[in-house]
Amino acid sequence: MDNLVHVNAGSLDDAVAQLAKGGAEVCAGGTDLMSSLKGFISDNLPTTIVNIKQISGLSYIKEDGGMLKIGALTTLDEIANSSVVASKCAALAQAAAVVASPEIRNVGTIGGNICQRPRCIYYRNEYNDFNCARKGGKGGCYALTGLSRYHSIFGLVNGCMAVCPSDTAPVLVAAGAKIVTTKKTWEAADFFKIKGEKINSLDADEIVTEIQVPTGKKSCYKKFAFRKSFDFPLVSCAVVGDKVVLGGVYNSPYEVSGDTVKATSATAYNKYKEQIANTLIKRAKADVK
Amino acid sequence: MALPEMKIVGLDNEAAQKEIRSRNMQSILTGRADYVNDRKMAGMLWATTKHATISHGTVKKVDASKALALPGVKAVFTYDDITAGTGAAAMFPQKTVLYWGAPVAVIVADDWYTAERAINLVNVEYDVLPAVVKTTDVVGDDGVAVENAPLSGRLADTNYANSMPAERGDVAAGLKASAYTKTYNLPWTTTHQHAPIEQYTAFAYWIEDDVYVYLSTQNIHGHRTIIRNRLQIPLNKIHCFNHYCGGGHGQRLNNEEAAMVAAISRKLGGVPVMWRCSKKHSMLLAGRQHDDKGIFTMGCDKDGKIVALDCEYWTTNYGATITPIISATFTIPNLKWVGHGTYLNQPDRCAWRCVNDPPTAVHLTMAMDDMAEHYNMNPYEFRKKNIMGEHDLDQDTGNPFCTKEVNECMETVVEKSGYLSKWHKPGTKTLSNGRLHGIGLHAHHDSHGRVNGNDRGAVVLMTPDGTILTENGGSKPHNAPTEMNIIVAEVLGAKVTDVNCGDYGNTDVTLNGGMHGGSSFTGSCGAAFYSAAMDLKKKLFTYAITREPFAAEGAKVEDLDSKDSVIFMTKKPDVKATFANIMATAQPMAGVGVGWHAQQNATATVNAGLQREKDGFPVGHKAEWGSAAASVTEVEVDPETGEVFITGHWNSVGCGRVIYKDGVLQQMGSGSELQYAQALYYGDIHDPATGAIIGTQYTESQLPTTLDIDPTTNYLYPVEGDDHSGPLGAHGIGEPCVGSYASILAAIYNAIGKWVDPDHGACNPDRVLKALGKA
Ligand SMILES: Cc1cc2nc3c(=O)[nH]c(=O)nc-3n(C[C@H](O)[C@H](O)[C@H](O)COP(=O)(O)OP(=O)(O)OC[C@H]3O[C@@H](n4cnc5c(N)ncnc54)[C@H](O)[C@@H]3O)c2cc1C
Ligand code: SF4
Repeated sequence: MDNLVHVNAGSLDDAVAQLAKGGAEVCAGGTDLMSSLKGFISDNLPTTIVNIKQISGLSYIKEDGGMLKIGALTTLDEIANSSVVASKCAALAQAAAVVASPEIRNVGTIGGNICQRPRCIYYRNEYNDFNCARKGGKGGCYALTGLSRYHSIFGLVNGCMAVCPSDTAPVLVAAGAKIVTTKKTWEAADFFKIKGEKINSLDADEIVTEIQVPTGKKSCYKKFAFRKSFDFPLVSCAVVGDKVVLGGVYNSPYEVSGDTVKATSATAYNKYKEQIANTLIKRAKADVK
Repeated sequence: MALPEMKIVGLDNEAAQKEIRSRNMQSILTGRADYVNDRKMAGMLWATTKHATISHGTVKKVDASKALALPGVKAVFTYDDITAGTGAAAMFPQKTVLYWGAPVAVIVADDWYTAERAINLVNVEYDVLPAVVKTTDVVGDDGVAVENAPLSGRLADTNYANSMPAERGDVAAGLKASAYTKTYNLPWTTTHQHAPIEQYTAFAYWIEDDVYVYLSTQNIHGHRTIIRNRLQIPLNKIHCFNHYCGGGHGQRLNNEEAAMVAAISRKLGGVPVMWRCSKKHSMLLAGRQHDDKGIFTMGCDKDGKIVALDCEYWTTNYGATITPIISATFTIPNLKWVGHGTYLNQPDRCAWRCVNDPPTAVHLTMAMDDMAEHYNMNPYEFRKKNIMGEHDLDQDTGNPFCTKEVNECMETVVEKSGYLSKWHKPGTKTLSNGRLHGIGLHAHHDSHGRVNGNDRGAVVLMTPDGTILTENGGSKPHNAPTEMNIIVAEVLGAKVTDVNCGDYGNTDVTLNGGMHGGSSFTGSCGAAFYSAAMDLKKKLFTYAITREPFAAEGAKVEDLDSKDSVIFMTKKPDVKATFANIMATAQPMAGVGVGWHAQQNATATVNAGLQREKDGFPVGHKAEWGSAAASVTEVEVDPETGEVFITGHWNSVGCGRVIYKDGVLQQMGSGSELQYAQALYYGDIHDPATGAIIGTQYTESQLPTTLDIDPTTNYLYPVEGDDHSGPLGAHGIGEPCVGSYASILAAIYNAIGKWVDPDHGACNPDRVLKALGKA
């Protein structure tokens, strides 16, 4: 980990001002940020971390006018165990409950979950041994020429075939959720279009404050990973109402029309994802509640 | 040495066993166990590793100027600084890079993170050479060597060596005479780093010309010798310590880091230096299980008895020797083995938990299950026709086995699991939940439990209050000291609770009796402690006959015996004195012993061979060591996702005489649960382009957690036998359960009707789907 400047932001405005200075990043639960820093995974890591945990009023779950409203600092565990979330958008509670391990869910926040870095095995390699396209490095995409077992089966975005690793992201897109930030309110589908290293389109000085999820639709979330105890989704499927969105198969949550998908860029390593995706679609649809 | 009439204290005394175990556990669970990483000293410096980012080449130039400019960085050491001129090939940092991740420099700084930060500031220039990064670069799937493959640089002129071919009988004639023969092209098995728990660490400082080294190893005495050889100083100037060791698994043995950190500390004026591996470096630098491939031709007579087996074998280990699973489990009159060590530009492989068993077990199981099908038998029936019995002699040497429990182990798991009523033809049973049901069987004789203890030594001390201390060369966990304590208690006639561990993991006060290799410890070091306890007992009784009440009786040493820490006259049991009474006036007493060796090619000097008569063979007759294991696994396979769910896993192990029941169950439990990992989860992940291991984080390498393995599906059956060369009839059980990798794969085969190709990794769902033709 680099010698870091650590700032406790007094307010959202203060946090935004700190970010605007450059080289800074928000720290919520720190579960993703700290491991990135400790692993020296990129040349673009922040030198200032802006702690927002002590800013009040950013951790809540409430229902308001047919909308489930969740503060960005709400932990994944709180969402997984919320009876309000379970009754208003079961898929979101199901997704939060299968993120990582109990320890990480206790600390990790929903805001952090939708703003994390990709989990590509090359991207995450410690000491930045693979300075790839996603990091702005010269190495191109190592997965493309190497091991694509965990990667996109629907092509590349900006020369990168990493997938969106967030369990909550497909649910938010399927539910037509809105992501409120210090700058604007995003449609979830737009929010998760990648711009830089992270898995979304946020500006460097933009902070997520609230997630708004329309309620009243039946839903279900299914996740597939090699290891059940804690793992990122290799493929996941969210069904909310009549919308079906896959996770783990593309740079962003991937919307499905019809009952099945056909991979457009599968490799010998990741062809299996198509079979899994179609199985999950079938099973999630059968289990909506 | 004939063994005395035995009544094993440990077996009788569950409460004492639990107490011993909880003594061990408490220190670990409360964080009081002291690992090398916990060492702190005023003025200490921290060291980390700069690793190579090429797979093959030579280091041309190391430019450390930017790193040295970072505040807190004290020094950067390369091969030229540490090794050049010492006569050693490489004392850690390498000049010739043979794999991605090899150490090329060591950075020393005021603190760990500063050293780590400096890694990417050290600039290394290489002369890059062509690399062989995949097994298919050197040998095709058909077993044919690749022509004009680049050289890995590990050997001067070849990428693979024929190592230790073996043959008995006449294989060509045997195959010709067989009623049915078939050739099996068997897939590459799993490779992975198998001891990722405690990161590699070494800590050294000098006082005058004495060096003190703490290291995370199983083998401090071996390391002391390496340090002596590298630094050219006498052994009595080298003091090596290791108290706790987080998982050894046969690969924390003879590495260079201790010598390196001692050399660096000396260069820095003797200041304490802590060299520590990051997670990634630990993953790259630690030895890993080799992956193996075989092409077997098996021939059987008309009844399904094996007549001949011709094995050609490739392994990424560098010693492709035949294993007892092939040579000593089944009756195979004609057997040929040609093993090829395959040399790649990949991190070093080492023995998988001491043996080659898991890969070979899988391969033999694949061939045998297929043979069984040809003969319309189930896999048990086929094995039953061929398995060796308790009294069979070694097929190569004609020697008796110290113990041979493989048939009993197989019968045990077959009965306990209900195998015969559950087995069905492969790929024919779908359950009501849509999953496919399967059950698999495996049994093998293996090389664990060996008693190669003639280089082992033990010291047992009697304290003035009549309690006893064992001085143990190994590190503390692993239960090994407790087994030693029970052996000592039994031989001395002491209460188990009167025997405690003295110092351990300390070369200054222990003999080389302590390498705590689980597989051989009870046999080899146990033999040393047995001898030491005998020595002490003789001294104690010799002194006792000069004291009352024995002096008044004119007792001789042979008139005495002891039990529960009380010495008594065998013919007059009321004439007795406690150890404490006798020791109250005695000078301190120590017993010293060395181990004995069972196997025929031993250079043993002490009590080689059988310790008791077996099947008409006399004491001292040469004997073959061994242990045995069998397992049955029951699975459900989801045909739509390829997921495998283990619903039952029955393991039995031939344990010799059980002297520490808890320890046996722990060893079996961890060994068999580990096989869930090996078979279904965990494997090295390589970049196919560079050969770099990229699964260096636990998230990616898929090491399962306790939540992935349901221990209630894991049933353990120690099969007690009598090892005729082991102390008190016991032998180490080590990890024979690791063979159950094979029964898991066999169960998947039975479920889906196809063998899954592990493809150097585990049978992850994508590989199961591939076997099913769905990916
Ligand atoms: C071992 C492990 C396993 C995991 N498994 C899964 C899994 O199975 N499924 C899954 O979905 N995720 C998984 N994760 C990721 C996990 O969900 C995230 O680490 C966690 O949700 C991040 O939350 P945090 O509060 O700790 O974020 P932090 O680590 O604090 O931040 C993560 C990133 O988000 C940014 N950020 C945080 N909050 C905001 C905000 N309000 N506005 C703007 N930017 C913000 C930070 O700047 C940082 O870049 C795993 C992580 C680990 C370490
Ligand atoms: S997939 Fe993306 S993150 Fe991974 S190596 Fe390619 S460019 Fe980098």
